[in-house]
Parts: sequence; structure tokens; C-alpha cells
Amino acid sequence: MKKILFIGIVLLTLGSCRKWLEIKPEGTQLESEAVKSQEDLAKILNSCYDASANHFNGRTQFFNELLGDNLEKPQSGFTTSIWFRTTNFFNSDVSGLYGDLYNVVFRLNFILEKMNDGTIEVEPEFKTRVTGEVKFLRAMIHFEIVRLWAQPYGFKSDNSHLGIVIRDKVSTSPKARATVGEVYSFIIGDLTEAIDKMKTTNGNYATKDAGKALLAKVYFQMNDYEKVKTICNELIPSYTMDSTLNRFSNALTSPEKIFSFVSTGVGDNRAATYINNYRIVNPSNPSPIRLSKSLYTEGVSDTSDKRSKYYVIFNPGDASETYGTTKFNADFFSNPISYLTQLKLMRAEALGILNSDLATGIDDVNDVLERAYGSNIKNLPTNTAAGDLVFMARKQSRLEFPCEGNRVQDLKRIGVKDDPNGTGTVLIRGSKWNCAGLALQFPVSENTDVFIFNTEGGCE
Amino acid sequence: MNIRILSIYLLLIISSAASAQNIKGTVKDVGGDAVIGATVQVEGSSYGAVTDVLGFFEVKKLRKGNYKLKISSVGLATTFKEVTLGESDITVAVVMKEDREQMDELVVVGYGVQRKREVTGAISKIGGKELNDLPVPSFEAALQGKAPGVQITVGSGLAGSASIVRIRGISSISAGGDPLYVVDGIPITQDYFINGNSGGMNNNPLATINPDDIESVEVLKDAAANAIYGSRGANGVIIITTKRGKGKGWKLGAQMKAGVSVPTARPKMLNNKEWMQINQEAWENDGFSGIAPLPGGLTQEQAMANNTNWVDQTIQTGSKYGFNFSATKGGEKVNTYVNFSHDYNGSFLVGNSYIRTAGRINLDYNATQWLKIGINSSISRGINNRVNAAWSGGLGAAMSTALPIYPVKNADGTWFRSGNNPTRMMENMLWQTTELRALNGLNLTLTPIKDVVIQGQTSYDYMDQKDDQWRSSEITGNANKGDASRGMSFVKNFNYFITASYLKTINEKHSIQVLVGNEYQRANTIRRSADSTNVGGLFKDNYQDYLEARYLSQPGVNWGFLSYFARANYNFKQKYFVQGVFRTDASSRFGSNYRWASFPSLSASWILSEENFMKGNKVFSFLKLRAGWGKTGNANIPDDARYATYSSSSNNVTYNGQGTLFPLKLENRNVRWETTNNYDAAIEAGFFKDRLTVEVDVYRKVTSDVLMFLTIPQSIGFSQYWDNVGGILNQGIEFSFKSKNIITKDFQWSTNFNVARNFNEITSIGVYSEDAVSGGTNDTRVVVGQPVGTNYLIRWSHVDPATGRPVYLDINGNQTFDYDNKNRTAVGKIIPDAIGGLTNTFRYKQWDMSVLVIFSLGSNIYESSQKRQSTLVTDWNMDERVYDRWQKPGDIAKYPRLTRDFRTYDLPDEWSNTTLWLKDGSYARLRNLTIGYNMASARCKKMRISSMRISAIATNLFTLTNFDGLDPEIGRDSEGGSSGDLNSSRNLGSQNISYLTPPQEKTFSVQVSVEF
Repeated sequence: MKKILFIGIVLLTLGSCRKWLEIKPEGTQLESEAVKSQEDLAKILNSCYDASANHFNGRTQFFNELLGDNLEKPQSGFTTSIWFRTTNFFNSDVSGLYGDLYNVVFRLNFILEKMNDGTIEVEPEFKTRVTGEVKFLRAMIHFEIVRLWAQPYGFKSDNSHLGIVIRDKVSTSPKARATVGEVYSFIIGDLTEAIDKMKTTNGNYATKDAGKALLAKVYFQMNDYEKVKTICNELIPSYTMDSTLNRFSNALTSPEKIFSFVSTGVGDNRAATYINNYRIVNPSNPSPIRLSKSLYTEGVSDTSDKRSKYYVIFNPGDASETYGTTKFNADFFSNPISYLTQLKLMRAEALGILNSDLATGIDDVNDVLERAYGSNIKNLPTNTAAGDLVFMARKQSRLEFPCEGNRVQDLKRIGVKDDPNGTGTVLIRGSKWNCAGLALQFPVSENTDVFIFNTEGGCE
Repeated sequence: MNIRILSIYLLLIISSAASAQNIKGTVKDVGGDAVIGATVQVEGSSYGAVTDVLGFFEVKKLRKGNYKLKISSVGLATTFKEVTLGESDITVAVVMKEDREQMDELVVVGYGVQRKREVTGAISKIGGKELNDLPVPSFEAALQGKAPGVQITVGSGLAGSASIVRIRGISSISAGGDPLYVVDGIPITQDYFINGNSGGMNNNPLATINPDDIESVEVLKDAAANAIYGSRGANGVIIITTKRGKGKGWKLGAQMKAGVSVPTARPKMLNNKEWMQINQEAWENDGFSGIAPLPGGLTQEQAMANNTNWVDQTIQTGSKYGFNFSATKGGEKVNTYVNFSHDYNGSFLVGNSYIRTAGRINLDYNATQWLKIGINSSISRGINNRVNAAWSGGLGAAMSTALPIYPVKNADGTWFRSGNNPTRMMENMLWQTTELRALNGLNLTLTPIKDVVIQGQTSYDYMDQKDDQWRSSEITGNANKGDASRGMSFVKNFNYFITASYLKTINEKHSIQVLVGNEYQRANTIRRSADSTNVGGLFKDNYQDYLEARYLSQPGVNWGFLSYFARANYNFKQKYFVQGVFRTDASSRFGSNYRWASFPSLSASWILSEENFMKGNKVFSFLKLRAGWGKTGNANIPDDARYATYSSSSNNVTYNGQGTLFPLKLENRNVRWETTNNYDAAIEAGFFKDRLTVEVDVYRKVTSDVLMFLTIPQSIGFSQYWDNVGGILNQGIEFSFKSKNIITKDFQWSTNFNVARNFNEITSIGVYSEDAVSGGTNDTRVVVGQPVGTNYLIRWSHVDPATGRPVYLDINGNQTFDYDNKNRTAVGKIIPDAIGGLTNTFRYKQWDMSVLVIFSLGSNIYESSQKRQSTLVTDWNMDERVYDRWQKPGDIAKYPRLTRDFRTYDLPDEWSNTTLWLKDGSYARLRNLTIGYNMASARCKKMRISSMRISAIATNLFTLTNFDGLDPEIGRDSEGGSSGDLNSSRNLGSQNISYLTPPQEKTFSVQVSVEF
């Protein structure tokens, strides 16, 4: 009996249960459980807005401003080498933004894949709208990446210079950089389809007009002013100028709003990097990131300009003299991405360059000036020359959009047009617009046989 | 007390006044050869002698009477001879038999024990006494230099930090590279990263194991030895066996110790004036004039007035003390071992200590002739009073951003806040990690039928760790009593195994033993956190606030292993041994397509000295050849490595008030076992009746499907994922000897030496680049053809005498001013070529002295933080090495011109790496010097104790090295935000990469041990 008992115990124990090894990781959902329905895809799309809102919360804009002439050198950290235009492939701030932006692209492509491979059943209307919004966001992100990590459109006349990796589907394979021409074609293709498929009204999400406004910006960057003019002419009548001077204070309710990222409270702040960088917490202490003397000087050059009141100087006359702005002194903001003032100043510059319909361009600039001065006292005369209109449109762009990341890309665009050979007539903080360091270096993670890195080195 | 012995003793004393005779004699073995160095002792007295080269001995000045001689010698059975001494001298002849039992010490192998001569694998055994003699906070540190091929890098300076243990090199990159620890058959919880790398330190899962409890440690090094642990044996297995009751009757022991701890080296930082001069020089070198601006809002006058020595502020003379009480009882029915210990280990860092209180009961109960019940039960509590170190502050701050121009307090008595002030942080922060650890096992051994033994063990390893922090309002800036937080981990590690073994000897020639078994292990980690504001101290002291705190549930960790295994041993005439092992394992960490894997092993040995042609050999007393092959594995990766996982708005992530869902990581369904093919061959030899024993092992380990947490092109959408990529080769040779150099009655000298040479090479990393896995912050890389942990850097050439600018070497070795990452190349390695230890033990009468020297040769150290201590002038203090700098044209200097602008050196940022900071990491150190006095047995008897020993111990007394940093033995924290990163960092860069790493400690202590 004793022996039988023992042998029985042994045999029983040897027959262990396989279920003991089916252990699901805690605190997370597996893809098979998480992504099962149209509603789940809608949530993934919402997460793309969520992530984009975080990456465009002043952060992407900050990287642009660091390369340009609106900021003083940061106090320390890896952003200093962006300011010095000496980024290398170990710069964790640069790789952080790069990876975050492409992570959104992965999500967007995943949505397209799931809608199209039949694994998840979706309604046709849903599929059309979501495809449009996916492609809008995908274009917006590719546009931002190509502007930061590659030399600008027009750097080579045929745009055969290297751009960025186009990610148009889910894949874990390394990929080579497309040319800048190919990237812009891809962006325009996505936006064209997006405009076709997005809705006219869509709450706080992207609409056809948001797509068109972004397309106008793309063409503007490409120095394609005819198309800018066409799109702006189509869009502008639908919107009215807002008298509010600080567009961050009413980004959702402004009559100028075309597309904004939504903040619902302090814990849901989609202008966080703006506020963290530029907010002046204590009036006697500078903000973490300070403005350049060049921007400050231009900003306060006319004290009757109400926008000059935003500028602050610290330790005047001292070696440690520095500058800031009070524009971001708030706990949270919604974040204006596309709005009427952008369109007006783009159209004004485009019309000036095209020397076409100058009256409309002058009106566009005057709308901005009247808000800045509270009256028409500084308005451009109706007979303003085309060149003066261009000059004024560019000047107002700098004064209207400080910290919003436009400046360096504007200067690059102007460089392509006015100084195509980089002779030095168009400089960005003392450097030629086409110098190597004005394109960020790619992260070391891209180091594969198929990938070619940017040339490293500063700008003279 | 034995009455008979006492009588003899008294008789001797009484008769001491009478005339004296001698007992003379010879001691021979059964072959008729003289036994040299045998100890002849008159029982119950202090009289004795040692045999000479002819085996002759003479015990002088004895009175007439009856005596009992005890004759003992290594390798021979202790022999007794009764002698009656009359009025004249007498001569006796003693024949000693070989003692196989004594020669063949028992070695613990997986799921059983074997005699050492029968072992066909590579196993090193270290006795508990060797461990207890060294005052180390955690037992594994005492293994250093004791076993060939076992590299121990002690955790630098910080009390409670973990050592890095490597057995025969490293064969993993992102999976855990540490050996498996098994305590009394329980594969214990060994999570080094349960607290990430907070404060510049990782967790030490071995810290709560009480060294006083350890009977022996066996290190299983090759596949023949550790294939029985199959899937988890690839990086070696360390088996810890705790003490059990033995002998007859109760035996009580007590041990007390006390000592101090100081750093092995002190940083030589600049004072205020020196730093200001350096800062001014850099300012002027950069083309500026006037007075260089100062950080912290200080005026020149204030800075000149402040001169804080932050090293003094953060370093102390640490104290150590401890006591240990044990009771053991052996008997036919019940064996008992009970122990209680308390150890206070204060480090040299102000506020830093590790306090362990531990108790254990081990019981063996022979219930019937066929049933034996064993219980192992221990409970211990470790309290780690934590401080910030390295990059996190404390001494690290004193070596970096705490400038000497900063005061501790302002003139008005408030804390200085405009710059790093580690004293302010220390004084306004409480930090304590408390670990409760209970290791419990119930073991049943059944003998149902003759030759069959069934053993079953179930065990429960429970760990409860609480990491408590409190920051005062001075730190938080909140107007309240302060903020408290607690991170909690509860680890429940359940394990059972059952084995059945059959042992049969046929015709006294053929011996067969077969063992089959089944094992299952399941571990669950529950994580919680709590935080609250307006708390006056740690939660443990403010329990009401803890109850009212906000609680968060963190994702836990859950995994399981299911295994079946078998081992068959056969030997013929105790001369030829063959062993086959087969284990098949399944892990919850792999998908069903790769869940199961098999790990076989085959090994054999031949004891030549048992052959007739070797018998009677005067030189060889023992000679054994052994060889083995086997496969082992590694599955030490995160539980969710293979899954694509998602997070949703349930984690409060929403946009526009709507829910979100987003992927967290990429899927790889094909993640599978990392496997290592092991080959081992060895010679074990004993010479001159084992006065000298030598062991030489050669091995080759070929690892494939190496688990790597890869950096992938970020344009994919994620930056990392798990994959089995490439291979690693480890091969090497180990040599060790034990020699009894001098054996006389009063003086003995023995030497133990071991050295191991390991060659490590990454043989493949698939399609990926060197940067696919990095060991922490820009320090080491994975380079094909180079070892794991290769320094991959731009080469520094020299300082240009004309300009003071750095001159680098491009990839072709040409000099250039351009710093370009394309010129990085493999220039060094963190793995040494050779490691070893030399122990000399001397005994003179009651005195003994033990000297352990350890050495590590051929590795490099990357002193990553020196770039800001000796060249680029930033917000860091600098050390005295900066004085060897270029100052004017024509200067030949080690370090370039000072600058505050990294572009002067053509660097892209402030943190770039070159070989200027790559150092020779070789060292030899006097690890341990112990001088002990063992009280004479007669005096002990007077004191009614069995024995008493007093010893003075010094550790890390002296180090020979070319390293110009603090300490060449560097075991720093592993960095990273995930388990994959942390393990990569531990494998590739935790040893020999220094970043403000505290030095090792030098200790002096006194220990008293008494047995009753």
C-alpha cells in the first residue's frame, strides 16, 4: 500500500497543468484584446490627436525656434547643441522628438491597415472620415519632420537632396530616406486625399479647411505662391479677424480658428512646452528659455504696437541682460495650429511676390496692423509697392508668431528664393540658410546599411 | 565533559612533578610508506608532535600512565592508539588507512549531493567558514577570489548595493546575465531592479540572506553541472546550503564583531579659490575679458568667502557591529539548527547603512525508517538607510555640481538654494528601504522500497519591500510638514519539485543512479505605491497619514516555469564515471510556438589513480580526467517581451474628453530561448598524498539566439524591441592549486591560488549596428569580434601644443581636430583578461593569519565623469587632475586648454566621449588580512567553553593599480527605464564604467567567536 501510494503521488505530480504557463502580463492590454472594433480604432485615432497635441504643444515649435534667431542659447542640456546647430546622432532631445513623431505615424498607419485588411469591420462613412483624418495627421507630421531633419524644399533645384523616411504603412523594416521632392509629393498626396475625405465640420477635430490650411503652408514652404493664393482665397472668406491679441487665450473660440489642439484643464495642457519654456513665474526671474535680443529689439521697437507690451527685459544694462515674453503666463492654453492671421500674412506675402492683387494683400496686412495698434494709424497705404508689401508681411509674421516655430522655416524659404546659391544674402542668426547644421542630425537608431545621415557640423 | 579524558588530564597534571618518559614511533600507510606531517596528539592534553619525512615522531616529557594517541593526516583515516607508559620510553608503530570519505568531500549538485571524486562537471565549493571570516554586508562579496572563473565586482561604496557576479564570462546581452541562486533547493527571487536605479543604486536581492547561516556555497560552472537547471543555467548556478543540526547534543555559539568603514580613496576636488581661478582661465581662453560670471547668483566677494568642502560634508567614518547566536543539536531522531543574527553595516557615506536582522530554524525529523521530514525556515529584515550617490547626489554632488563657492547655509541661517547643496538635501530628506524576506521550505524524503528514494520539496520565498521617502517643505516648496511616498513590492515565489532516484550497485563494480523529477515555479510580484502631502516624516513613523494616503496600483510581474528532468550516473569500479542529464523547460515568457526547450548534457570522468598502473605512484596521489558537453539556456527577460501591448484611457489618458487607445510596444511572437552550448575538459590531480592539489579546466561556451533589447530605427514608430539576435563566444582556462607548504606541530602554512583567463567575443549581431544595444549612457556598445561591453570611442591623440586644442584620430589613425562619431572604434573592454585570488594561511600555535590578494588584469575603466572634472569648465567642480592642462603655446599637457564652450574641442555637446577617459583597469588588492587567536583548549575548559577565537580583520587595505581615479573596482548602478535596458546596462556597463561612482570601502574590524 505504501509503495502504491508513493508511486501514485509521483505520477500525479508529473502530470502538471499547462495552464500554469498561460500568464498574461499585468497592467496592459494585449493587442488581441484591445483592438477589436470600430470604436477601438476611433480611440486609436483620438490617441493620435492626443499625442500630436503633446508633440506640437510648443515642443516641435521650440526645436524650430532653437535653430532660428528668436531665442537666446539655452542654459544647459542637449538643446544647446540644437541652438549651436551641432546636433549629432546621440542627441537624446532630438531623437526623442523624432521618435515621438514617428510613433504617431505608426498609430495612423495601423488604423489604415486594420480598416483595410478586413480584420475589423467598419462603416463606410467612418472609414472615409477616418482615412481623411489619418492622412491629414500623417501629412502634418511628415511635413514637420522633413522641415527639421532635411534641407529645405528648393535646396537643390530638382529637390533630389535627401529628405526623410516616408512611413506609409506598418513595417518593422529599416527604410532609406526619400528625396525631399518625394516627401513633399507624399505630403501633398496625403493632404489632397484628406481634404477630399474629411468632414466640413468635425468638432475639435480636423476638417477639410484644416487640410487646406496645412496644404497652403506646404505650398508656401515650397515657394509655390500661386497655389498659396488660390487656397487662401478660398479659405479666408469663411473666417473673421479676432480682436484678441493673444491667440493662445482663446484658441478654441476664436473666429479665426481653423484647427487647434484642445486643452481641458491644467492636467490636460496642450501648450505645456510653451508655458514651461517661456512662462515668467516670478517677475524678477527670467523664464527658463529666453528670447534673443534681435526679437526683443524688433518687438519693442514701436511702443505704440500693443504687442510690444508682451516683452520683458531682465537685468538691463548688465552682462546678464536677457529677455522674455509674458504671452505664456498661464496655467494652460488650448493651442492654435491653423488660423486666419497665418493665411492672411501668407497671402499678403504671396501676392506681393506674385505682384498680383496687391490691394488684397495690403488689406490682409492692414487687418493685422489695425489689431496691433488698435486703429488704422499704422496701416499700409493703398499704393504700397509689392516689395514693401512682402517686407511688411514678413515683418508682421515675426511679430505675430514669436515662439510658434515659423521664423526659421520662413527664412529658409526666403533663402531658397532670394539667395538660391547660398551666397550669404539671406542669413539665419549669422549663418547661411543652407548650412549643414540647420538640418538636425537623425538619431543613431537609424544607423543601418540603407540609411544616410546628415552631414554633421555647425554653421559658420 | 568526558570523565575519562578529564581523568587523564588531571593525572597528567598531578604527575607532572614526577620523572618524564617519551613516546616514540613511526606512522606509515597501508603501503608501508611513511606518512609525513601527520599530527600526533595525546588526547586530553596539549602534548603532541608531527611526523617527519621518515614518518617518525616523538612526544616528550610524559609521565607514566595510560594515554590515548590521536593520529590524523589529510587523506587518511584518523587513527587512535592506546599506550601504557611505564618507567621508560616506548616505541609504537601506527598504520593509517586511506580515508575515502575524507578525501571525497560531499558536493551539493542540483537536486542532490555527490562525492567530489564522482562529479563529472566543474563545481567550486566554498565553505561557510571562509565566507563568515570576511565582514561583508552581503555573502556574495566574500566569494571574491575564492573560486576560479568566478568574477565578483563588489557594489561600490553604498551600503546595500549589489555585487556583479560573472561565471566564466558573460553570455547574455539584454537578458539577465547573473547566475541563478538556489538556496536549499529554492530558486530565489533575484530582482536587481525592483527599485529601478533610484539614488544611483540597484537593489541587492541577496542582501537579506544571512551569511552566518551558510554551510557551503557551490558554484556550478559548466553544463555537466548546471544542465540540471536547464533553462536558467547558462550564466552559472550558485547553490547555497544552510547549516543543519549535526553531532551529538547541543552546541551553542556566539559571535560579536565591531569595526569601522572608510573609503579606499577620497576625491581631490578644488577649493573655492582654485575653482574660481580655473573658471576665470576658461573665461579668458574663450576670448572674454573682465571677471568671469559665477553661478548661483554669487558675487566675487561671497564666493571668495565661501569655501565648502563638500566631500567632508558627505563622507564619514562608518561604524559596523553585529552579533550572532546559534544553537545546533544532532541526534538520531531530530536535528536542529537555530540562529539569530543582527548586523549593522554603516558605510562611509553620511547617513547610509544597511541593518540586517535574521533568524533561522532548520529541523530534520526522522519520522520513520522510510520517512524523513526537513524544514528550512528563515526570516530576515533588511533596513537600508538610503542616500543619494553618484549621479543622484550626495558624494556624487560633491564631486560635481556642488561648487566649493556655495555655502551650506546663507548668512541668515537659511539653506543655500541657488546651486546644488547635498547637505540641504540630506538634512531635509529621509529615505529608507525595508525588506522583509522569508524563505521557507518543507522537504519530505521517502524510501518506499530498497534503493529508491523519493524526495519532494515545496517552498515559499516571500519578499516584501517598502521604499519610503520623505521630503521636507524645504525641498518640495510646499508650505506643509513635507511629502511622503512609499513604493511597495510584494514578491511571492512558490516552488515545488519532486524527484525519484534509484541507486543500485551490482557486484560491487557497477554503480547506477537514476533520478527523475518535476519542478514548477511561479512568482507573482504585486506593486503598489502611496503618497501623501503634509506628512511629518516617513510613513512608517506617521502611520495615520499612510492610511489616509493616495494609493496607486502598479503593474505586477508574473511568471512561471514548468520543468521535467532526469539524470543518470553510472560508474564502474569507482574509476569510470558517466553522467547524462536531460531537462525540458517551459516558460510563460515565450509563446506557445517556442515555449518548450530541451537542455541535454553528457559528461564523463576517469580516475586514473585508481588504475593499477598508477597505484603506489609516489608523486600522484590522485589523478582524474573529466570532460563534458551540454546545453543550457536563459529566459531572464520581461514577462511581456513578446507581446504588442496597449494602454487606454483607463489610465486617465484622454483627448478632447474622449477615450484613447494606443500601442505601447511592438510584437515579436518569435522571441525564444537564448541557448548556450558548453564544452568543458579538466584535469584534477593530487600530489604527495594531496599535499598539493591542482585543477585545470578548459571550456568553450557558444551562445546563440542571444536575447537583445534592440534599438531599431525610430522611424518604425518604436525605438526598441526584443529579438533573438546573434551569438557570443566565451572560452577560457582555469587553474587552481591548494598547497600545504609547511606542516609542523607549531607552524603551518598553506596556499590556495586560482587564476582564470576568459576570452569573450560577440560573434554576430545580425543586421544591426554597434549601437543596437548600449550599456548605459554612451559608454559601451555591441561590436562583432569584440567582447560584450566594448568601449567604442573616438580616439584621443594628444593636446596640440600650439593651440591647446584636442587632436583626435580619425578612423584611419590620422590626426584631426574634427570630432566625428564616424571615427568611433573598439578601443577597450570592461571584461578583464584574467582574474584570480591568492590566499596564504599561516598558523603558529594558537595564532593564525590569512592574507587574501585578489587581482583583475587586462580590463579598461571608462571614467565617464572626468570629462567635466578635468577639461570642460561647466557648473561642476573639478579635481586636481585639471592642473595638467595646456595654458600657453608650447605647453605639453595631458588635458587641453580650459574652455566653457564645448565647441572649442569641436564637440557637439557637453557630454561627448573619447579615449582620454579610458583607463587601464588592472589591479591587485589586499582584499583581506585576518589575524586570529584561538584560545588553547585547556584555557577554554577552564572557562567552560569549547572554543574561543578573537580575530582582527582588515579589508581592501592596499591596492596596486595604474588607475588615477578613485578605485579600480567599480560596480555601479545599471541605468535604464525598462528591464531590458537595465539588464543591458548591467551586462555591458555596470562594471568598470565610472560616473561619480563612490569608491569601495576599507574596513577594520574585530571579531570574537565563542562556542559552548
